Formats: sequence, C-alpha cells, structure tokens
Amino acid sequence: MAIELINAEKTYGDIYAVKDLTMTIPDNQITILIGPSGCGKTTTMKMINGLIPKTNGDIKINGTSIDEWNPIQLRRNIGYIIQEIGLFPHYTIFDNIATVPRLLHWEEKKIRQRVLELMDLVNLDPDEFLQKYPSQLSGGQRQRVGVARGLAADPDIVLMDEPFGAIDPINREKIQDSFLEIQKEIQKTIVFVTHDIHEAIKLGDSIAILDEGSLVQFDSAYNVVNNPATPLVEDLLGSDRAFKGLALLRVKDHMTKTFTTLTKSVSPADALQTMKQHDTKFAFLVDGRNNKLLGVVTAKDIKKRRADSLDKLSKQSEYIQPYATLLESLTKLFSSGFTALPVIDDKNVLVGVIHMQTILDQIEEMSILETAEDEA
Amino acid sequence: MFYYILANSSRIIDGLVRHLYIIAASLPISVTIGVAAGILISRNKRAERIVIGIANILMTIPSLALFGFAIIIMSPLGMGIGVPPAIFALVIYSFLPITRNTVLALHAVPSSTIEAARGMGMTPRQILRRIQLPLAIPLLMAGIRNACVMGVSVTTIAYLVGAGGMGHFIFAGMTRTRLDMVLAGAVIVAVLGIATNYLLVMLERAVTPRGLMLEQNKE
Repeated sequence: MAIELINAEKTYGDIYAVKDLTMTIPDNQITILIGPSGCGKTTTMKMINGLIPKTNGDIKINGTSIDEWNPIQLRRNIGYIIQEIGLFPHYTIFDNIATVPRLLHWEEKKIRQRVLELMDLVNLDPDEFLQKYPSQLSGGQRQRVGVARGLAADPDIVLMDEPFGAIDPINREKIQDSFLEIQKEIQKTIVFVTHDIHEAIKLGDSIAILDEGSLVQFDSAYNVVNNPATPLVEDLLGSDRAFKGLALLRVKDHMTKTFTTLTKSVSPADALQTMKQHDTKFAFLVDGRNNKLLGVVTAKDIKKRRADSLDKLSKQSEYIQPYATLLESLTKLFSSGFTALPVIDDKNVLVGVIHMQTILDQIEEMSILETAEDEA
Repeated sequence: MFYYILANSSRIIDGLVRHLYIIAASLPISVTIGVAAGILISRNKRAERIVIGIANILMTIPSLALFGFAIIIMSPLGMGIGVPPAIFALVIYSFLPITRNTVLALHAVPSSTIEAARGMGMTPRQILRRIQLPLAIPLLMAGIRNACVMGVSVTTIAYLVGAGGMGHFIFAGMTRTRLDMVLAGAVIVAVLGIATNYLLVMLERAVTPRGLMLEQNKE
C-alpha cells in the first residue's frame, strides 16, 4: 500500500487544519483532493511528503511511517509538481528536469538519457527546448516541463498541487488530456489537489472531498457524481450535475474507429468517389507516412470549388484528444458546426472520430437514469 | 584645474591609487560581513528588524563623525591613524546597503520556487546555494554597487584620519584656498564614482544567470 493516512491531524494552536483523516490512497491511480479553500486539501498533500509536519496520527509511505523516513530522502522519492512558476528560472529546461536525478547523484549519461525519455513523454522537442530557459517557453510548455521534472527520478508516488491552475482554459483541457495519456503509460500513484470540480471529475479515478479539515466523501468519481454524500458535495458539483456526468465519459471510449482518410496524392474526383463508396460527406486528409491529421475535406467543397488538389480544398478542423470528455467534445462540436470531430492523440495522429449523435445518445441514456432514480 | 592636474599628475596618481586601495581593501570585508549578516537575519523576522534598524542608525551618523569614532575605537589596537580606521569606517558605512539588499534579494525569490526546491528534496543549504543566492544576484550586486559608489565619495574624508587618498586635494586645497586644487580633487572623485558604477553594472550583467536576464528582458 503506497500511501495510508491513519487518523492524521494537523493543528495550529486550537485550530484543526486537518482533522482525524483516515484514508488509503489507491496505488497506480489518480486520487483527487478537493474542497472549498481552507478545507485542508493542500495541507493533507503536504503532510504526505513532510513539507508540513503532521501533529497527530500517522502517515505511512510504502508501509513505513513518515516519522521513520529521512524527510530529504522521502521527498527525493516522491515526485512533486506545482504550478509552472515553480520552475527554476536560472536553470535551463535540461537542468530543471535533471534536478532530482542530480540530487540522487545519478551518472550524467543516465540523466541525459532519462531527460530525453521524459521530453518524449511530455511531447516536447528536445533539440528545440532543452537549452532554453523557462521564460522562453509558453505557460503550457512550462507546465509540461514541470510534469517531466516531477517524474524525473521515476518515483512511484507523485504529488500535484493545482498544477494546471495558471493555464488558460483551452490549453488547460489539452494538457489535462495529455496528462491522462501520460498516466496511462506510467501508472503512478498520484495525489492531485484542485479546487476545480470539472478537473476533479475529468482526471480523478477517485475523489476525496474535504471540508474544514474533515473527509466528507471519498469514492470513485462516478459515485461522487451520482451519489453525492452531503449537501456540500452537491453544491460543489453544481446544479448541472446530470450534465456533468458527460464529463465522466471519455472520448476514447465512445469514438468510432471507422472513418475515411485521404492522402494528398488522391485527386479530388477519386476522393469524391471514395466518399460515395463509404457513404460519407466528409473525409480526413492525413499524412500518408504517419497518419497525422492535416485537415478535413467535404464532398460539398469538392463539388463547389473544383480545385485540382485536395490540399487546396482541405480546411483546418477543430479536433479533440482521446482523454477529453464528452462534455468538452459537445462544446467543440457546437463551436465548429460539424457533426463529428476528429480525435487525435498527443502526437497529432488521427485515432478516431466522435459523432454528435453518440453524445446525444449518452445524454438520453443518463436522463433516463436520472428519472428512474427520482421515481424510485 | 587642468593645468593643476597636468602639473601634479604623479601626486594625483598616488592619491588615486591610495584612494582605490582603501576601497578595495574594505570591499571584501564589507561584502563578507554584509552578505553573511543578510543571509542569517533573513531567516528571522525579529533579527531582521533589529539588525536593519541598527544599520539604519549607523547610516545617519555623519561620515565625518564616523571617522572620528573609528579613530577612538581603533586606537587601543594601535591602529588609530592611517588606513585602518578608514577601512573600518567604510565597512560600517557599507553594511546597510549590502545587508539590506541581501535580505531584500533573498525575500524576492518567489516562495513557490523555494517550495518546489524543498518538495524535491533539496537540503536548506542546497536551496540557499543553488536557488536563493543565484536568484538573488541582481539585487545583491546592486547593493554592492551602491556601497562602492558611496565608498568612493566617503573615502575622500579618510584624508582627515591620515589615510591619504583624493581627499588630500580637496582638504589641502581648501586650507590653501586653491580652487583649482579643490576642483581637481572633486572632479576626479566624481569621475571615479561614475566609472565605478559603470564597471560594476558591467560586472553585474556578467554574473547574472542567463535565465534571469532573459526573464527581465521579457518584462
């Protein structure tokens, strides 16, 4: 068992920041700590790596009480990711990522190899970025570096304190999707603090809701949304709780893998023919070598504009990532005006298509559930 | 004035060398004491208030009086006259700008940066050496520069405690009512101050970490 909190408490004088908290954090999953400000979520997280010493109770990491851990060693074994501002401005991107391996006295060759691995994982081009400084990167890029840095020494446990809070909403959704893709690969035990319920539902395998230092509900994301334990949890979820259910469903589980692709070398006439055969009004233009999405071509455009190559006919398309939620897809569908969205992974490869109808069907299914529940 | 400078160039050069010698000798002492004190007191709010308070009071002592004190304090050690009391006075004078800027510089390091360092398992010493001090360099250097430029002008008074330097031309010129002599001394000290400032600005740029420069340029 990676992390166990046993009646853990933190007091400042007479005030309880965290009160009698007992929970076992599941291994290899994302556990969200959420609640109103001052609820003790950040304190709880910082007690796990000893940044805030606990007052009472016990916290066990890999079966050993944190009282028996050397705090410096403990922290080097737990990844720690905070908002992008936590990057060291005077270190290059390479040096930032290499921080913990260097503290652990890894060989420089092994560090270099690990940094390159991580850059690939967070999808940043090493040649372009490694020698740059944080101030030369965008917020989203800096946050990717922050994630890479937290994972550098390959810790089993990673603590994340509102890591995406400083990023604008559009890029935040993208980086969340990428983060889920990364987690699928690395399978870490992640404790994630946020105040954003959307983020919690989207990222969390399980969600712990805290209020005034006490644990109010600790359950799977699905159960939290469908059976909020107290009025506070209901408040936190908001009035559009049913709608939020869409945020529990991932694009990757509902997309279709049958779709029509075309490459640049196909002539418009042949393209029209192919679409007819596949009984579709649009197709995706992809790079023939690696299946990266280039754009979307519609039958209407081919007929109307009569250009001599698909390149000229294709349009930029809105897209969505596999780990995005159906709620996000719906928003994008409305804004794009299409009835389907291409699904591309972190490396721009077309992996599927999500249809408006699929999402509408899901809403219907859920509303039936809601009514049945009301009557029961 | 120019005629005076030309006619007495060798004496002026001697004075300049002595002047710079006094500053150069006091600088390592004041930087060591000032930065060390700054680091120590930055960890404790009360110590900080007390030490900065004292430094502020020291700054209000007229420089002339400070040299007087320096003689009184240093003479039991047999060093009451000449260069030692001058160095002593300069160190006292530089204490405030250097210490204050060290404290400010350390406090200016974002707490989230330090927390990230702690969270990753750096020891307090590693945080100081690898994170806080490098990030503090611009402000710290500004404090040292301040102290140096001030030192250039304050050192003129060192002549009165027998330490020599460019003060000779100003004070001796006054007693002899030789305007050209006073002017020569004053102008050269002023130019020296400007040159010192310029050189230290260059040094500051050379030692500021590149990542920080980029950040500042962006703002």
